[in-house]
Amino acid sequence: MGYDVAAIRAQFPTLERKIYGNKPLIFLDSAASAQKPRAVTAAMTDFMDTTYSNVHRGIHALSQEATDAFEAVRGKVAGFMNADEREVVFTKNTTEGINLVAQSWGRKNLSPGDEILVTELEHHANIVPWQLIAEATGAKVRAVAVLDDGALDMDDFHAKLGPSTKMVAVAYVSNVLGTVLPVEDIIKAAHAQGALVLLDASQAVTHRRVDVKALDVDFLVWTGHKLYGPTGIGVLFGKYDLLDAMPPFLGGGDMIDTVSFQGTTFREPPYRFEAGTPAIVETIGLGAAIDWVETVGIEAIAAHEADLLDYAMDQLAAANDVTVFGTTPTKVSVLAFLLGDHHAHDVGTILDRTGVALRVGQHCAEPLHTRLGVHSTVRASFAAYNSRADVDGLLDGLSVCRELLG
Amino acid sequence: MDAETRTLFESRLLSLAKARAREGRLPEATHTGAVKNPFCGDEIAVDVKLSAQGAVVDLGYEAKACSLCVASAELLSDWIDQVYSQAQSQEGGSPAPLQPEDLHALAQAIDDVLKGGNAPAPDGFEALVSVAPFRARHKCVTLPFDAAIKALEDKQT
Ligand SMILES: Cc1ncc(COP(=O)(O)O)c(C=O)c1O
Repeated sequence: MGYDVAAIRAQFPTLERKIYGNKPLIFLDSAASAQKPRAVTAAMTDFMDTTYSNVHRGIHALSQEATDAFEAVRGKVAGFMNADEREVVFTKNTTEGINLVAQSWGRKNLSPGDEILVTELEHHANIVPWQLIAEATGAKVRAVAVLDDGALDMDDFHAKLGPSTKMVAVAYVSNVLGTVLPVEDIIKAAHAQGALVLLDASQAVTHRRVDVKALDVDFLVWTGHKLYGPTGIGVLFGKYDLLDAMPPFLGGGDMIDTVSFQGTTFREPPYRFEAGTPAIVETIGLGAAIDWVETVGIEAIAAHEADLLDYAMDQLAAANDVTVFGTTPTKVSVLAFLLGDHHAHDVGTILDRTGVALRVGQHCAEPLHTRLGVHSTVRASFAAYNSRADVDGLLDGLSVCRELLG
Repeated sequence: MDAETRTLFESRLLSLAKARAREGRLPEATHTGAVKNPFCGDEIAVDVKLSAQGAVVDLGYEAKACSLCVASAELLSDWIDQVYSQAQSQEGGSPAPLQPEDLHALAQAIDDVLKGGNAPAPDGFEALVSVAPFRARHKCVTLPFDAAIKALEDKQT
């Protein structure tokens, strides 16, 4: 049985929507945030209707059931990326996960002269938190160059990696170029220099199997809403010993051992980093999203998306007036481009009116756009529910752009 | 394609943006302001020249921006030229020179047009009515005005 995209689409009510009167929605903005299958919304509603209660603090039946359901998701997340449960910290999103590591690990471990190595292709979420902690500690942020085809310049990486490097924080997959970084090589080289590695896996978990043990990565962060789950829930993986040596990030309820005015002691990871009432219902939704992805199969999704990407790349190459950014063989289905010399915004406005939803601008990656020498780009991204008809819709939309923009 | 989109892209805005006839910095600027739209990264710098009496006499700009932003800057720069030259050419009496407040009022009027108010577009800015249905693009049009106002709020350069 092949990949039944029609059956998959049928599980996403949003995809049935019409916009601007009666235009079918062609949703090519999943790299920003994915649509949700019914299974996710149903799990959340069902939980609220039957089991809802605060977690980790109740003597009563509902609280125990809610806690069990909540902690079961931790197990599911751990299984999904081959981690131990106690290495899974629930966060709000990727951004919070990176800030947590930067502040908590960074404050304790960085001093003047130390270096944090990022890359030119990072999302701002993997730049700014490091700049903030560098400012506070006297450490320095350096960026590894990107080559013209969107690959990381590994010569520059090796040149910049050195004894001063304490942290290498890089994207697993670029949210603009779709490039999959050679993270195995990066991790080995960083470890050989005694540096830790944080991977921003926001765009990786959606397109490939991620195995933290096989990678031997120190920290890995991602966000639930790109993986067909709800907003407000993200994941930080950290090796247990590293997490255990880190001070808390936020203080409050749930994360303490004993509290007194003589001094407070903190719980063990992951709870030390989960202050206050967590996003309980969203966590349940994330669990359902992982179940959904695993039922379809992440490998099957990846293969389907790769087919769509090939199809789209061939069509765009045939068009002659389209410049694609990111052309490495490892590219996943994130496709940034420009049509002629037209501004991305003008193209995006017209595409929107033809029913094609995608993102234009700098995609929270201004340094990358500076490096590419372009002001902004149009980004189409393909997910589990997209079809070749969606790609055709994009191409038809581009024809309208040509007609109107001249 | 729907009528709104056609109207927008067939309006004179696109040809204004292609020609960029008035783009350029003012060597004699007295005030200058640069703004950026963080949503898309578009940037524009606006130079304003005030006379010794404090009237706006010239405006120049330089933009890394979309067609709507550039077209809006073109219209603004045209408008200042026309108001100023009209003021110059008035016979006798004292012409009413363009005051910084007038620019604020103009920006407000453009904002109202975009928000779909009933007031007619100010003279020379009629084409901007076609942007009103495109809410995500309003900022593109107001960016040059933001830069001009920022310039006027700035100290003399
Ligand atoms: C590579 C990458 N990093 C970080 C983020 C930020 O994710 P969030 O906004 O959920 O924190 C995104 C998504 O926008 C992303 O694509």
